[in-house]
Amino acid sequence: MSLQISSLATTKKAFKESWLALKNNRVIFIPFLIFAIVDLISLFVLFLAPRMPLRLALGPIIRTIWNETFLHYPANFILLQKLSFLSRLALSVLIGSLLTGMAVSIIQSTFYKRPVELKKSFVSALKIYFSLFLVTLIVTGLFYFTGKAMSFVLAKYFSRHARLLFIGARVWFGPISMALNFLVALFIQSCFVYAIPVLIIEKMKFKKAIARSFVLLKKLFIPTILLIGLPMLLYIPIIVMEYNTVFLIEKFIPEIILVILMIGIIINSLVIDPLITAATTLLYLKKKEEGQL
Amino acid sequence: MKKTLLLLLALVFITGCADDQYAIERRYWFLKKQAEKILNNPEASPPRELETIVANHYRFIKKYPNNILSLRANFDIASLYTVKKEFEKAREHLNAMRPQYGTNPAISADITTAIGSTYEIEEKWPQALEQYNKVIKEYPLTPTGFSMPVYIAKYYERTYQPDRAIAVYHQAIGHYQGLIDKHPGTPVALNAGLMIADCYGSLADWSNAAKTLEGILNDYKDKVNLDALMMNTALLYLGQLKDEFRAKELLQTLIKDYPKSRYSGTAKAILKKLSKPQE
Repeated sequence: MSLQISSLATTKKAFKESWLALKNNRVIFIPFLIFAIVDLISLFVLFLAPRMPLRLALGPIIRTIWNETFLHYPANFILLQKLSFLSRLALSVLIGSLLTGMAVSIIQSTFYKRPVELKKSFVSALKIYFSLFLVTLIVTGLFYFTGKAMSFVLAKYFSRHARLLFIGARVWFGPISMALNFLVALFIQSCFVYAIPVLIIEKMKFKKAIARSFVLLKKLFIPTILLIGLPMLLYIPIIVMEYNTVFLIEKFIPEIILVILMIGIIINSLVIDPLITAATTLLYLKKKEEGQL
Repeated sequence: MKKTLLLLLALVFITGCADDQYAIERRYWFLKKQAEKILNNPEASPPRELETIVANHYRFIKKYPNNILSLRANFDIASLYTVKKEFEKAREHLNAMRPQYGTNPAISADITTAIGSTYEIEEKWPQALEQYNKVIKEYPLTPTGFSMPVYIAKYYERTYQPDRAIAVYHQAIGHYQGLIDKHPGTPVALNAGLMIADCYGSLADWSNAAKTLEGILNDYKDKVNLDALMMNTALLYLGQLKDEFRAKELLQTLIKDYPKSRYSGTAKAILKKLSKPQE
């Protein structure tokens, strides 16, 4: 009981400190803002894919992998959601890894009340780009392939059965898949969340940083899960809307999907990611200062 | 960075304002949404609404006369008049389409069928039948003309006239047999054969249906993919004719000739079930 109370207190404190850090040091937002801009540009490019001149370059790819249908209005909005998801995964690995490293470096400077030098933070992240890239690649890859595996297993099961645990396929592929994906994302991110702070702050090697992240998760399990899970809850309305693309297109206008995806990018990049990164990095630094690690 | 953003904005502006096929599809989608308001609830919509929506359709057709979506918009206008029970206007509009689309047999068949439908909805079956027979006679190889004999038979089934339905199914069999004789060994003959089997199925004449399907399997072996047809024929033997032996033979051939077919798994499962001793 006392362990739970202290865990909750730690979480509350970490959130409060990260909120204050973000409020008083707007500079922390810069890496996240850069990522949001890149993500939005990529979304616009994908949105314009069925139209000239982008159709010349992206049309054949979409036609080959998916279908000609998705190059026409309004079916392109159904694919846009998937394309945006895939582009975000790629951008997270290629650019997001570097920018998260940069953000951790900035948070470290603010924590020690040192002047923030954006260039210096960027360079310190760039120096270990390969390790940052690998950590993000593992997290993204695990998330993507677990999701795929779950869909495959469900599809295989429901090709022969009508129900699983008294529940039909529609519910399993809808809200239950959504909840499972959320829990999987939460667990995977929790496992690796300290790897980037360890790489940046301790300058450890890649494998050691991963191992350290696992150890830290074990030590700080409840606070870590809460620090990641609570901000992630903010994204649930977007997920729900994304699961109802066809309904939204029919009920309103197809362009609503673009608006939802834009809001999703803003919430994800400018609210959830900064909160998680700041809260977990500050918790790590705090525990380190207190000699509890 | 500034230059890149400006370039991107220019790109968005250029593509966003372009009157390309995508932009036309977008306009048509909004037009279709307007039409759906009336099509989904014709009684509730005021006459003024019909006029406005039809006028919007005409504007679209005038702006993109050669676009495929203009053809759809034309048929939408006819549908709008039909659901509002303005049958004469619908037929007038459909006939007005002929000068532009008359050279295309498939579209001409659809126009004539649509005129027939207006009569059918108006409960003027003899006039509708006249149009439908015109489609069969003048455009027999178009998708609509090809399936029209069965459509007529199904009309009689729907309206509880079994004797007429049976007679029309027999007429249809004769019609399709004529097409086979006229176009032997072609896709037309293959599809006509399938239609004959379908007609026999509707007449519950399972042995003739099976005989027709066996004929197709024999005639088109090594020419087209017959896995689906083999599966259907096996199921016909199993379900209707209770001929387990022939069904097993067909399923075994399916597995042997089309090992990668999506039906081979089902065929194996059925064979496994059939090999189990009956309880």
